[in-house]
Amino acid sequence: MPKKQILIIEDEEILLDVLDKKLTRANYEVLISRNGEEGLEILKKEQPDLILLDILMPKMDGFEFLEKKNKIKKIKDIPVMIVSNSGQPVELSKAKKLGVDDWIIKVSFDPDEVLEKVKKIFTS
Amino acid sequence: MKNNSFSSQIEKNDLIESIKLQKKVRIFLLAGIFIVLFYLNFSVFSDLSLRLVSGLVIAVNFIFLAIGKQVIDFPQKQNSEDIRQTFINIYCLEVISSALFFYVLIPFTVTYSFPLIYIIILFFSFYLIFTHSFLKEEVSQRFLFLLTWLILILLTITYYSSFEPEISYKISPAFLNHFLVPIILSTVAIFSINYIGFFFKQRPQRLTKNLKKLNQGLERRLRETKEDLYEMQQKIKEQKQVSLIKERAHNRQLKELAQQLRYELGGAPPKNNDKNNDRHRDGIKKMSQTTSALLNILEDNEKARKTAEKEQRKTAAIINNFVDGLITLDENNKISVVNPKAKEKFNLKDVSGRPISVLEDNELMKPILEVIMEGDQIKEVEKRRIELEPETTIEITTVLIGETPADQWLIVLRDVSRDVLIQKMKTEFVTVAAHQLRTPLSAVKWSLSMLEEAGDLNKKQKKILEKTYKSNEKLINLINDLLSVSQIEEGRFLGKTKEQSLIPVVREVIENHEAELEKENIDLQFKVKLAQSEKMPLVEIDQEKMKIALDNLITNAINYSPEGEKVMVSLEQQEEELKLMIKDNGIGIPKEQQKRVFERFFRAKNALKKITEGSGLGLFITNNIIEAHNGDIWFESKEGQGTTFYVTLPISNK
Repeated sequence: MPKKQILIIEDEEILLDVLDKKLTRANYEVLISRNGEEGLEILKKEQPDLILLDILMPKMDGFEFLEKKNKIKKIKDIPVMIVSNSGQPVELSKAKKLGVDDWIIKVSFDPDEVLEKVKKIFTS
Repeated sequence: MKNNSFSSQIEKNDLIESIKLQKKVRIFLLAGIFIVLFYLNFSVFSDLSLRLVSGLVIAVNFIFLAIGKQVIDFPQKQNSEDIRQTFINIYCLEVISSALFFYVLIPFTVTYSFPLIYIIILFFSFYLIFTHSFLKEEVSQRFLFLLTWLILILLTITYYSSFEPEISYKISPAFLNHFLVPIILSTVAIFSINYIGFFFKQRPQRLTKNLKKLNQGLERRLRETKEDLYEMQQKIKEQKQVSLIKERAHNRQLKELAQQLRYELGGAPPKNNDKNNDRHRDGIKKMSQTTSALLNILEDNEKARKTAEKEQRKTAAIINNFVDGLITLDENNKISVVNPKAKEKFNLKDVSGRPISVLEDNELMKPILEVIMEGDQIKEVEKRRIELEPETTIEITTVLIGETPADQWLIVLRDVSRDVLIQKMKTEFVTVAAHQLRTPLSAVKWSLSMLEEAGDLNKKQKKILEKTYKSNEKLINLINDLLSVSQIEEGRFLGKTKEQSLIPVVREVIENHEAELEKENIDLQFKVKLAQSEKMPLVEIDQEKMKIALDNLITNAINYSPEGEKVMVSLEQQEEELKLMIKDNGIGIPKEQQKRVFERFFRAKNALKKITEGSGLGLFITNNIIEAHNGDIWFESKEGQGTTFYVTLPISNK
């Protein structure tokens, strides 16, 4: 079975690092980008199985990235899990409209719990 | 009207009285004459038998005359005309027979002849009596009587003149004896009788005259009065006519006015009730009643009108000064009122009285019409927000003023652009704040967990790591609470709701506290009080929020209980509600502070002493979450003895 590829779009270095290590250790292939723009650049070449997306980022935030991603046919159907510290109902509903599959509030979760959520998405 | 109907009873009585008197007088008169006759009779006849016979004849005559006269003059019954006639005839015959008796029979038996004057007096007396009443009207009988009388006189003259032709002309003792004595006697008798009658009563003739005069006067007066009366009646009639016409006109005016007013005040439209006007038979009385009734109605209407005007002015003032745009529609969906705000905001000029569809040409109104119209009808809309332009949001509400959809509508257009902008800014702020505050905390949290995972830490290091982690968690919770508060204030706290059982939610919350319970040696018992056959009722909840609410309650119960105490959590169905009870034997809430328990940032004095940290937001948030679920929350507490919190949630009917 080929390794599942996961794209992480996250501007906070520590969190990016933790997620990277956790997922790599869990035998996933991890792609890293620090904002929406970078993420889209990577998506031009790669076709990951999941995108972990932060919302508040410099240059291009999560929502903007989602809007743009949804316009590109090739990458439109890639599942997205938001890993963010904000999570107001407005944002949740907005994300839902943009086809987001799950929403994790970083501060309430341990890295292990994030890993479990990721596993769940692939099994379902 | 009959002229004689006016006679008064008194006058009539007077007349009857006078007639009765006349009757009596006449009988006395008659009696007087017969007394004279008896005297003559006795003086003439020397023979006793002859005296008796002649006296009898006179007596019979008298009786006949008296009774006959009575019958003739005063018929007792109206149909006694025949009897009267019979008596008149008998009477005449009687007179003739008695005359024959005197003038034919007597001269043969007496040597001394009758003086002519005697016969004349006799007949004159008869004449006086008879001519008075019936002979006036009975011409034939009068004629017969006069004829008899003339014959007798002629007979007497011829008879006596053959014996003593000069007797009539001689004045002799016999003449005095037979002529003067009867005259004097009869005159005295007549006068005395008349006098007696007058003495006792009144002189009948004069009385009659007076009565006649009186009667005439009365009749004249009666006539005059009647004329006056008639005139008066005419005048009254005219007056009545005039007033009737006036009343009618007035009445109609009032009616029209009243109806007009009633119509204006929203009553039934006026109807033509001319029929009623035409038939006022009871006249003025009825009319005046109607008038006063109408006046009352008029007065009432006037009052009602004034009140209505006042209300109208009030309403107009409110509409004109209302901060929202207001448009009202009449029952035909025509625009009736547009307040200044709506005019200004949506460029609505000269649209009053025109159908609502004209607004489709208005760029700003078109999307609004799309929301409120369903076909050609207005539908009910409550606080629907639409974005007309970038950064211009309108909240639309339609209100039915009338009772049916065909009635009036009120369209309220509230500019909520500012609200929306503030909301947006708030959301942005919370997002940034959450990011700025939570990101370092989550970095710490994740790093600590990675550090622990990496291992190679001695016991001391591990302990420090745990403490750091806990402090970090506390900070995270505080930040979460703060963010929850801001979300509550935004008024849209509940996220996705789902119908589910509350048991696993409660269990999960309790499980999260296991470490603490163990450490504090607190015995937390969770009981579901439910009959075996019963299924656990479901409730519609936002699971995440409900967890927060329950967690706050259970955390409090644990935190404020002394070591080794019990905490009871129970769940039961109570009619249409699910009731959760969380009971501790902790420090309790001071009575004077119980009112403030659900206020934000409130912490009881004794709670502050026991645990210094704490935002004072837990129960505030919990209360809001429970209320957002249409539930109830309350508590019973005694300081130093413990607190019991109760939460009820409506059972889902699906």
